Amino acid sequence: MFNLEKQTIMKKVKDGYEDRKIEELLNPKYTPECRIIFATTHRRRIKNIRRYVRFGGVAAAIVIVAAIGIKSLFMEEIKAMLSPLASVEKALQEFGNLQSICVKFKLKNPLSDYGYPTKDYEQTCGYTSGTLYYLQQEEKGYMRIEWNDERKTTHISDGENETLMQGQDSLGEIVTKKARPLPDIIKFTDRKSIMEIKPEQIKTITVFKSTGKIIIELLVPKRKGKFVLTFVAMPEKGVRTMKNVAEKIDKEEQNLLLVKASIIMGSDETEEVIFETESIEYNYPITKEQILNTSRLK
Amino acid sequence: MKINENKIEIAHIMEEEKEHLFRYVCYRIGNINEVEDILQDLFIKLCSTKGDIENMRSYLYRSLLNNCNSRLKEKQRFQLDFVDNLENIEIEELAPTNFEEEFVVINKLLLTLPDEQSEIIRLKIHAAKTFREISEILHIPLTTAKSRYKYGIDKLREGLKKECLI
Repeated sequence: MFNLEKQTIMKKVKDGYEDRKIEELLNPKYTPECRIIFATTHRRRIKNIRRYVRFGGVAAAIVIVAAIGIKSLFMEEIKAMLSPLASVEKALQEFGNLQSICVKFKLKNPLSDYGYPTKDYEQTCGYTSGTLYYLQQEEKGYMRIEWNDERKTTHISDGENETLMQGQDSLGEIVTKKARPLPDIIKFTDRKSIMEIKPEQIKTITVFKSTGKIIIELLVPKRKGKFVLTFVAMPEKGVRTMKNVAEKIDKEEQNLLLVKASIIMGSDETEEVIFETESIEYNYPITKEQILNTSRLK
Repeated sequence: MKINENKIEIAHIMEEEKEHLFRYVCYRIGNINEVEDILQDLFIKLCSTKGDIENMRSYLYRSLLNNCNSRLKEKQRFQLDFVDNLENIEIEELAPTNFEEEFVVINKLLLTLPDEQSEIIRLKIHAAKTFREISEILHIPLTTAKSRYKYGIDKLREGLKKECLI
């Protein structure tokens, strides 16, 4: 009887020891550092919200950077007749020299009820407009996107952290801060998307020109030919080949004036514009402090 | 004014719980960027919630659990050949040297258990919740929370012993 009790106790002790060992195995030792910050601010009156935009800012930045790449691609093509791939590479390097830019745009951004962005562009969805400010200073990129959505969403990136501000009600805003370095995102995604474009994949490069302004349309079939990305620069009339236009470009007008990204989808190949700029201003007068400001500029 | 007070309270709670929330989601999802996205979404969703919430901390974890589950279902994330026994675990794996290895081994272990048990273990160990808090989060009796935890640990112990891993 005594031995049985002793055995039971010993088993319990052993089980307890092993249980702690298992708990130890399940207890994380290498959890990454948590860098997200949750906070609220109170600044101005904002209307109630039904839905909001997320990640669109980054998407917009990518499209714009892509467009800048395409612009330079075009210019390099004209100047030296480099291969598209080499031109894009050069354009991306040149992007590092960009000082400041202000882009007004609209984005078709389907969202779920809780604001998760979807990639289903066939979903009925309107456009959200916004303004992107980008400033390159002291080898760092600062970006701010102010969306004209109901939440008055604002994305701010200081090159190391991304801050999202959203008007929540009439009394204040939600602010979250995430460690998400913008340049890396741009570099990675932009490179990934643009560098994937091989010369043989480019279906057409069309240049439209009239009175010193041009449109560049680069059609790149994606994913079994179902998707086509179109980047358009400078909307005007007239169609010329690239070579013919090259000689007539005014140096002052070389800047990209418009970007338009569209996808062609469905069996009937309808074209859906997913991103379009309203205006692009180069060397826009904006300071780092303005970009990082937690109050809306507009 | 009340809406704003709620929002401040939510921010306060989330800041307090941040490390636990983050750790819980880290070992469920594995991708840090996605973990931050999930927490950010959760914060915004909670701030958008209208009406009074009786126990905000429980509600917060419940929402987080649901969010993680739906994300995992959506993406069918676990395609790492996890099986429902411990035969495929090597003894070296039990001494991970970084987050990625640790994520894999913890999930390999927990995926051998029924969801109801592994969830309680995650909440207890990763989110540092007490059994009482777990029972409130999952809407189950306190004794059930305790027994599910015990059954889960027992099963892991027996499984690891069988494979001579402990």
